[in-house]
Amino acid sequence: MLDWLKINKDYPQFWKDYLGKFENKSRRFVAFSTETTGLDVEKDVILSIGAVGIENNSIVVKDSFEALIFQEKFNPEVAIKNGILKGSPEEKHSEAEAIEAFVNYLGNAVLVGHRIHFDIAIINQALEKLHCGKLKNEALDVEVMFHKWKQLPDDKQFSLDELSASFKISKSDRHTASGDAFIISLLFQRLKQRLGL
Amino acid sequence: MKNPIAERIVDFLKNYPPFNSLNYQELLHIATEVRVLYLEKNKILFQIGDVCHDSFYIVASGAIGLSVTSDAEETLIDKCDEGDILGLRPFFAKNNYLMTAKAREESIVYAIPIHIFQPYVTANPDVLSFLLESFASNTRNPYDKEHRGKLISENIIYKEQQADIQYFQSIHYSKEPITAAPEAIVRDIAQMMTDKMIGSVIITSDGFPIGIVTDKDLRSKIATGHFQITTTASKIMTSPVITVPEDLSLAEAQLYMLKYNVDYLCVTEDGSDRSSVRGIISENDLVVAQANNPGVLIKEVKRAQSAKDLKRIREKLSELIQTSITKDIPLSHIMNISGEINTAITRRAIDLAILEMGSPPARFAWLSIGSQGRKEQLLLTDQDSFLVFEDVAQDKYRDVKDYFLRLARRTTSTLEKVGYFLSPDGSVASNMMWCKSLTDWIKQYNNWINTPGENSEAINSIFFDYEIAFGETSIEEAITEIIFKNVKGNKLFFDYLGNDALKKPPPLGFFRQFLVEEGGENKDTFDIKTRALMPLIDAGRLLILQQNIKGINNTYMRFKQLAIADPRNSELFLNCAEAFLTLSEFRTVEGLKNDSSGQFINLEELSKTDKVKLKNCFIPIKEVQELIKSRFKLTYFS
Repeated sequence: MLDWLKINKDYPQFWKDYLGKFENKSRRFVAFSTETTGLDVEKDVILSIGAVGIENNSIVVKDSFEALIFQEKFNPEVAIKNGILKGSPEEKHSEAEAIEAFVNYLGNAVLVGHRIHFDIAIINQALEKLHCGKLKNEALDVEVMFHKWKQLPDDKQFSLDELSASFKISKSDRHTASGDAFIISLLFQRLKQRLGL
Repeated sequence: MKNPIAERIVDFLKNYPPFNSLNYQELLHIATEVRVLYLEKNKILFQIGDVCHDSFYIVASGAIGLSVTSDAEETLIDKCDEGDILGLRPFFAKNNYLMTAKAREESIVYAIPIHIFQPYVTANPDVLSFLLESFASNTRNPYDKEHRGKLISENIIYKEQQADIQYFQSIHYSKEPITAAPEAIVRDIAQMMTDKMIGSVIITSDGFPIGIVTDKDLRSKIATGHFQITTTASKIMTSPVITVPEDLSLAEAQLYMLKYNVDYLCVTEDGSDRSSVRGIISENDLVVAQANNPGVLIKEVKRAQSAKDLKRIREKLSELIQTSITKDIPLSHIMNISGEINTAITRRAIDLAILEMGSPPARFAWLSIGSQGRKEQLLLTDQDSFLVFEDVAQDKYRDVKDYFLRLARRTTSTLEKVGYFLSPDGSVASNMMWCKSLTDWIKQYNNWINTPGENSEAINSIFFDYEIAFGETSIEEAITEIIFKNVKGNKLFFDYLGNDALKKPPPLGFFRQFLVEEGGENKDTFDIKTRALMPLIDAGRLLILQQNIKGINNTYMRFKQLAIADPRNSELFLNCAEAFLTLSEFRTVEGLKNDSSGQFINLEELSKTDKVKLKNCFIPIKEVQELIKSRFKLTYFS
């Protein structure tokens, strides 16, 4: 109940800054995707985050984000699928660094994802470790938007591959977080116009 | 930080020219700045007349159609598929798009900001020449043999290929360039440039060009005080001068100027700076070469020494109009060109009068009115004009007015010799009534607008279609100001003008038959001017005044503008615009055929389809008159 009292007390600076950004409504959307070691929010961790901004219906390539996260836990199966190996030479960050950078990048943008609840949940999990609150951005889900447009029942599921196939979006680069984020952004452009948002 | 999305775009770009001439790092820099756009089918990317975007585009997937609109018909000219670039216009021209780009199917395009790409264009000759050729040639991809010659570039508006040929024609340039020695004093050079009215002087040593002094050098080096005015040419010249061989094509000349960022090229015997100077090409020469005939005509007008010279040029203009009409060039373009030349002729006529009489004692403006004021004068019809001079002290008024009356008489008589007969109701500047001071004119307009019909002199609507031909634009602005201030919400005035617009005799009788003249020398002909064109011209004027839209004097443009300002009636206004063009064309063709004003059409000479076409034009006339009636609450007999 007295949650708001904590705002200026324990939070790290970047989180206070983040909370301060919500005074105005954003016209920027951020399509993002995470790659994780598995689907258990409690046990699994984030391997990488990819994101790209959308403004005025156009995808702004410059406004993109990618962070690969250095792993303690290691799941070879996922790594092989995603091409992220434990010792791969690409620049990697600690989870704390990556999450802080991502939150700074997000600001008050409206989030767009595929089954975005999981992505948000696992990021919130990581935020908790940093003694922060939960993400408070508005969120849209391309799968839900697709249901709405096709007027399909909510329980019918569509994978990202199925969605992109139905819009004839080529799937190169699928299975990296950035590649997925880009595909989500392309899906979002189409669905947004179809739904007249 | 890595940007995998940009990398992905690089992978796409590198397959297509001109991007395949750039290296990975360069492409990555470009790709980072890309914006990805999604276009639904039939969505418009840019439209004719839109201000140029800050980006150009490459199609990533789908297809974009490029089309031009001529005579209200949208003609598809080109289709851009994956990897094709479009929207290059902002690279080369400052004016608006000349084509419409519309998605023919669901498409993704990458927008590449011009300012990001520009440095690569300047630094990379392959890229520059690709873009130039794309822009100039008839396809977006000049290396694409299959399409070459079939399509049209974003550069041109006409259906013809002629502009293409123009582009590769050789240019006319000064074959007797002015040269000076490196030791010449800058002040002398500036004096010489002023006397000869040229923008540059080539500095030669032993007959070889070693540099050039241009207006720009004088501005940036002398006027700023960096160098003394008594310094020598060698100190301030731009060196080396860019030299080119003789018989350069227009495209090549443009290429050189862009590449070296210069306004002048020095032509030498073998194209190197170790041979003798043969001429100089200025940016202006390129402009003239591109404008081709009309540009040359205007240049000739400026050099004309007598009414006879002007008459010859006016005859050439008639030929130009004739060929343009047979070539199906949109009439609105022909009107523009013809309007410019007509104005230039008037201006030159005034010039000649001033040269004979000495400088005017006060500032003034010469305004063309009626058809010329509307830029619709294609045939040699009558001349209408008025003259406004600035207010002068009471004791000087007589002398000043006397000067301007004499000036006007000389000018109108020159124009008469060219072939523009005097307005039958005397609306010309040489008439005492229409040559007066600004204050008097303001009174005149006030009278017309606020107490129409009260004075003995009836309101003359052609005075509301004016365009400055010579003199102070601030005077024209003052007149515009006073008109729009007075007409706003002025019911009486609109009543009067509205009735005037409706008073014209109808074109068709009860049985939808043409109403022809009953007697006189034009017996049994159809009066296209009074019965069809005037109602449209009057309606356009009335409605544009009511909408308070300034600065548009052309009937076609007025209706186009009204369609935008009043979307509920936009279809009607567009139909009016088209009808006006069609009717003007009928009149012009008739006039050129019989060397007349084209006012009276001999119906028997028209084919059946032409008659139908003519009758179709009367539908929007009727509709727009109904609109005026209801909007201004008028009846024919009020």
